[in-house]
Amino acid sequence: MKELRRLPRDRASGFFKDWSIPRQLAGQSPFAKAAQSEQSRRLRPRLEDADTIGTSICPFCAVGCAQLVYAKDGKPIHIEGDPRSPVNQGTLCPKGGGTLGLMTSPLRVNQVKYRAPYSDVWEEKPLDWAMDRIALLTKQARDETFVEALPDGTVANHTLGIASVGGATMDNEENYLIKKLLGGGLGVVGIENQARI
Amino acid sequence: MPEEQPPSAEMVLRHIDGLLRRRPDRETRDFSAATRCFTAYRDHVTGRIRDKGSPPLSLERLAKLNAVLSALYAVHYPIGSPPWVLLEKARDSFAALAAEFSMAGEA
Amino acid sequence: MQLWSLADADCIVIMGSNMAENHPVGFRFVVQAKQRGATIIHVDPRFTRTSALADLHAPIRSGSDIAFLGGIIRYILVNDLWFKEWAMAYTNIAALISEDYQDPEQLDGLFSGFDEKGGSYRIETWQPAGEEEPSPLAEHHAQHHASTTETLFGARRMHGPPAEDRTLRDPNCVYQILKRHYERYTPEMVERITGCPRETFLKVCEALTKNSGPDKTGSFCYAVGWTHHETGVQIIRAATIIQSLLGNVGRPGGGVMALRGHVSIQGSTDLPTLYNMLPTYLPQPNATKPHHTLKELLKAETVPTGWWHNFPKYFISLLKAWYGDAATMRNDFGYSFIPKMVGDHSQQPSTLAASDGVIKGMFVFGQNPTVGSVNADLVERSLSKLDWLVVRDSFETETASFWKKGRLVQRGELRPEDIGTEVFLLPACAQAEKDGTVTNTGRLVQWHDKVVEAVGDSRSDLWFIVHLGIRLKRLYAGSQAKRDGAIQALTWNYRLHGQKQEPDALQVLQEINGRDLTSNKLLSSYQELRDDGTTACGGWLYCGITPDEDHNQSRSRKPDPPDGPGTHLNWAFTWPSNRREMYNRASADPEGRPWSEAKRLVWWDERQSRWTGHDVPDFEPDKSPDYRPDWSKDPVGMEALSGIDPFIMIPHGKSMLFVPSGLKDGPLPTHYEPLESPVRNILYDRQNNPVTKMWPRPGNELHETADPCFPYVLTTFRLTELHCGGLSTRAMPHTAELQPEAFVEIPPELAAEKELAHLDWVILSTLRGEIEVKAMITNRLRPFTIDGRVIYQIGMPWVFGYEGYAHGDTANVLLAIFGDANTSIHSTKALTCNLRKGRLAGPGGRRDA
Repeated sequence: MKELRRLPRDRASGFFKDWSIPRQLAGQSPFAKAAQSEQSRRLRPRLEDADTIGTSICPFCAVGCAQLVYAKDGKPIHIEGDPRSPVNQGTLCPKGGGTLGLMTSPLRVNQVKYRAPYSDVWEEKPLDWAMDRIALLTKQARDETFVEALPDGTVANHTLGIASVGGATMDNEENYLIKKLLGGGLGVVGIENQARI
Repeated sequence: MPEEQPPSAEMVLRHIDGLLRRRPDRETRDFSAATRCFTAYRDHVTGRIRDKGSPPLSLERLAKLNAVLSALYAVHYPIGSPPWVLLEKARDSFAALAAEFSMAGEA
Repeated sequence: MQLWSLADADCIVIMGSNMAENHPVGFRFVVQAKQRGATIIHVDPRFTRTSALADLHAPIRSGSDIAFLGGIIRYILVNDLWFKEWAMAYTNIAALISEDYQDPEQLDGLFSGFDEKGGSYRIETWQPAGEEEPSPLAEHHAQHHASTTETLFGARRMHGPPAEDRTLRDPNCVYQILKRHYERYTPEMVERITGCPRETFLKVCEALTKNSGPDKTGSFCYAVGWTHHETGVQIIRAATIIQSLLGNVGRPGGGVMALRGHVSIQGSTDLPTLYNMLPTYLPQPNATKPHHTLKELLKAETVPTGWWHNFPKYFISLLKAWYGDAATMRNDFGYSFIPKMVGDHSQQPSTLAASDGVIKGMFVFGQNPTVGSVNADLVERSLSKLDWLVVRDSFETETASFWKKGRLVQRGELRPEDIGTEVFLLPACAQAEKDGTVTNTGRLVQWHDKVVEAVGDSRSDLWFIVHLGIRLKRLYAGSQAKRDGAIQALTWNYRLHGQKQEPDALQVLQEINGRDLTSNKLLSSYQELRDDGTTACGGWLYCGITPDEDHNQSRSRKPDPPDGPGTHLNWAFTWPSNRREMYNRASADPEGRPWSEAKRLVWWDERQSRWTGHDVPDFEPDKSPDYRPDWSKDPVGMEALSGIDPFIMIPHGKSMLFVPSGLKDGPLPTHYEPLESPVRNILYDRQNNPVTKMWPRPGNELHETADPCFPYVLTTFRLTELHCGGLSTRAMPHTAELQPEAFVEIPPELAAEKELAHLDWVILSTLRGEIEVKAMITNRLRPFTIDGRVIYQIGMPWVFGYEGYAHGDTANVLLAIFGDANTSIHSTKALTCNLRKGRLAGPGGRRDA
C-alpha cells in the first residue's frame, strides 16, 4: 500500500476530526465507514501504478504455480499468485510469495565476474569478451579430448573432457538447446541436471 | 605453480596392466590411481602438442590417446559388467601410441 | 497424475515427502481431500507439519521403507483385499515366470542370476515362462542387455500372448511368487525393522485398502525421501505394486504422485540435460551396445509390440530437427554425429572423474553442486582440477566462489594460488525476465512471459547457449575434419530480437513441436511423424504444443468452471497430446464402462464406437474393448495390444507387478538395510542391496554396519523458506530472515545423553568430514526401538552454505558418493554419523572456539 506523505501540522489538525474510535463508540459499525480515516481514504493499491502485467510461473518447486508479475517503468513492483490457475488459485507459498525479493535482491550479480587461473580476486569483464573466451576454451577442450573411435574400432564421436550440470531451474527451450549444442554439436556425453540429485 | 614431473608411459602401462591382472570389480581405488596417472600423461602430451600449434596429425594421435581414457572410464564406471576386453585393446593401443608420441617428441 | 486429482482421493499416503512444508501449494489438494472425508496418512521419521495435518502419523526409521510397503503388499494378499477385476485384467498377476527363478527367500537375500564377482545380475531366470530365447544380439551382449529399450520397458520378441495361469494356482505365477516373497513381512516384522508400532502399521493398511475399489481410490505422494536411497527405484516400485493390486492407477484420485523439486525438473528430464537420453525418452546411443549404425540401433531398440514400436519415426525426426538438410537417407540421417556413451556419465561418477583429471571444462547452469551434491568437499576438489568453469546464475554461488571462500580454502587445505581453474560467473535472468516454458511435476507445460528487462549483463540461458553456438559454428566453419561435421551440420538459425539479441523462445518450442518438411507446416500430433526424413521433431512427446503458427497451447489460460469437469484441458498443455492422466483407459472396466459414477474419467461410447470422457483418452480412439490381436498374423505395434491393455507403452500392455527386465537389482522390491546402518538386516544375511553403485576411495569412505564410532542415523531435509542448494532463497531478504541459520534436529533423549541444551553448538562427523551446527532439541524426532534396541535418528536441513544472508554449514559435507544401481541417484536420507558437543577449532579450523 502506498502512503501519501502529510506534514505534521496537517496530522495534528486532522487528528480529532479523523479519529475513528469516537464514531465507533457512538455505535457506527467498525467494519464500515466508521473505521475509515482521512489517511486510509487516500491510500491506493500500489498495483494501480503498474504499467505492465504479465503471467509467469513460480521459479522454485515443480508444483508450477502461476504468477502475475506487475511492473512499472520496466521494474517489477509486485508478484502474486494468478487466481485463474487451477494449480494454485491465487495462492503462493513463502518462497513463491517472495519472488520479487529474488528479482530485486541486492546480492544479484549484474556483471560478468572473471577469475584468472591462480588469481585470488574477481575481475569484472565485458560480456562479449567472456563469451569469446568461453567459445575458444570450449573448442580447445573439445579438440584436445575428442575421441572418434574406441580402441576396438567402435565409433564414439564423443568427448569426456567437457561436462555440463544443471537445467532443472531453467526453461524447456534452454534445456533442449544445451543438449542439442553440447551433445548433438560437440559430442559432450556428460550432460546432467538435478533430476539425479 | 611449479610443474610436476609428468609420469612416464611405462608408469601408465604398469597401472593398466595391474588393473587387467587383478580385475578389481568393486574396489575402485586402483582405477582412480590409474586414471590420475593417465590424465597427467595425457595433459603433458596435450601441452606439447599445443605448443606445436596442434597440427592435425598430432590431434589425430591425441584422439586415440583419449580413446584409451574412454576405455578406462568404461571399465571404471560401467553400465552392466565392465568391458575388460575393451581395456585389453586399449592397453595395446596405448603401448603403440606412447612410442609414436615419443618419436614425435610429444611425450 | 495431476496435483488437483489428489482432491478426488479417498485416502492419501504421503511417504518420503514432507509435502505440507516443501510443496505447500500442492498440499492444498490434500487438505481438500481431507475436507471431503479422505483419510490422510504420513509415514515419515519426523513429525512435521504434514504429520500434524494428517489423520495418522506412522514413524519409521529412515531407509526401512520397503519393509513397510512390503508389509502392506502382504496384508493385501493375505487378507485377499486386492481389486480382482482390475488387477486380473490390467496387470501381469497371472503371468507365468521361468521355473528357474529363485527368490531372496530361497537365496537368503539374493535373486537368482547374481554374479558375485561382477556385482551384477543376469536376468535370464526372471523371464516369463515359454518366452523365446533372447535374440543373438542379446546373447552377445547379455551382460549389458541387448538394448536400452529392453532395460527400460522389458521388451522381448513376442510372438504370442504371454503364458498365464488365470486360476493363480501355479506356483510360478506372479501372484504366488508375490505371496511367497512377502510372506515374512508380517506386522511384527515391520515393527522390528522400521520401529513403527504394529497397531499403527495396521491402521495404515486398513485405511488404504478400505478406500480402494470400484468407487474409491487412494494415492501415494513421494519426493526425494524415496528416491534418495540406494534402493530408491525399488521403493517406488513397491508403491506401484500396491497401487496396481488396489486398482489405483489411471483413475481420478489414484496414482503415485512424484513431488519433484525444481520448476522444470520434469521438462529437463523430458528434453533432457541428461547423459543417457535424447529428447523425450529416446535412448542415447551406447558404444558398448549394438548401436553402431542407425540400422543396428533401430533393430535393437524398436520393440515389436506396443506404442514404442513407433520408435524409428521419433528418432529419425529428431535427427532431421538437429541436422536439417545435412541429415539424409544416404548418411543415416547424420546418426554418426550423435555421441555414443561408454558408461555411467551421471553426476556422481563425473565428480570422481573430474577429481582424477578426466574433465577439463565444465558448465554449471543454475545448479550449486558444492552445496547440493553429496560429499561436498570432494566436489570442491574436483572443481579445483578443472581448466575452466562457467557458472550461470543470478547470484555468486558457493560453486562460483569455491576458489576464494570454499571450505578447503577456509581450512587451508587449498590456496587460491594453487587452483588453476579459470572461472566465469555469467549473470542469468530470472523467470519473469525471459519467455519460455517450464513443465511441472504433473507434465503440465506452462508458458511464462518476459515482463521486464533484466538489469546489466544478465541474459537468458537461451541467449547464452544460442550465442555460444553461433561463436562455435564460426570457429569451426573452415574445418575440413570429419569430427567437426556435427557442429557444422547443426541447425542453428535462431531469430534474434532487440538490442540484446535475445533469441525467440517460441521458435525453439516450435522446433521441439515439429514440422512437416514437405509443407513446412507445424505438426499437430506425433501421429503425423514419419521415418522417411520428411518430418522434423525435436521432442515427439511435446508434439501438438504449438499446432499452428499463432497457437501456443502452453500459453492458454482457461481453467474449467467450478462445476467441472476439472481436467482443465484449456489450461496450458500436458504431454502427450494434452492428456492429463496417463493410462486413463484403466479408469474404465474391461468392457469400457466407468468403474463407478464417482470415479468416471474416460469410457467407451458404444454408439459412436469411440473412447470419450473428461480427459483425452490414452488409447487408440476407436479400438473397441472387444478387440483381440490375431496372433496367427504376427501383429506388430498397437495391433498386438488388445482392447483391455491400458498400459500401451509397455510391450504387453499390462502393469508389471513382477518386472522381468528393466531393473538392475531384482524383479521385486526387497528390504535391504541402507549401506550405512546401525543394525543388521533382520530378514536376510545379505545386509545391503548387492548391486549398489559404490566407489570407495580416500575421502569417500563408508561406515561399517553397526560401527560404534557412528551410531546415529542421519537424514537430511529441506525447509519451506529455503529452496534446495540454490542460493536463490538465501539471497532473498525475507526468506533468509525466516530461516537465518543451520541447525540439527535432535531427540530430547539423545540430547540428555549428550548433555546438550537447545541452541548448543554440536559437531557432526562422518568419515567424509565434520561440520558444526546449533542443536534443536525436539520431539519431532523420537527414538526408535529396532529389534529391541534403541536407535537414535537425527536430521539436518541441507540447504545452507556460506553465501547469501542465511548462513550455515553444508550438510552434504557429511555424505558419501554412492548410488542406486538403476539411476545412480545419490543417497541423502539414511546414513550414519556421530555427534558431540562443541565447535570445530584448532589448526586449520575456521572459527575461534
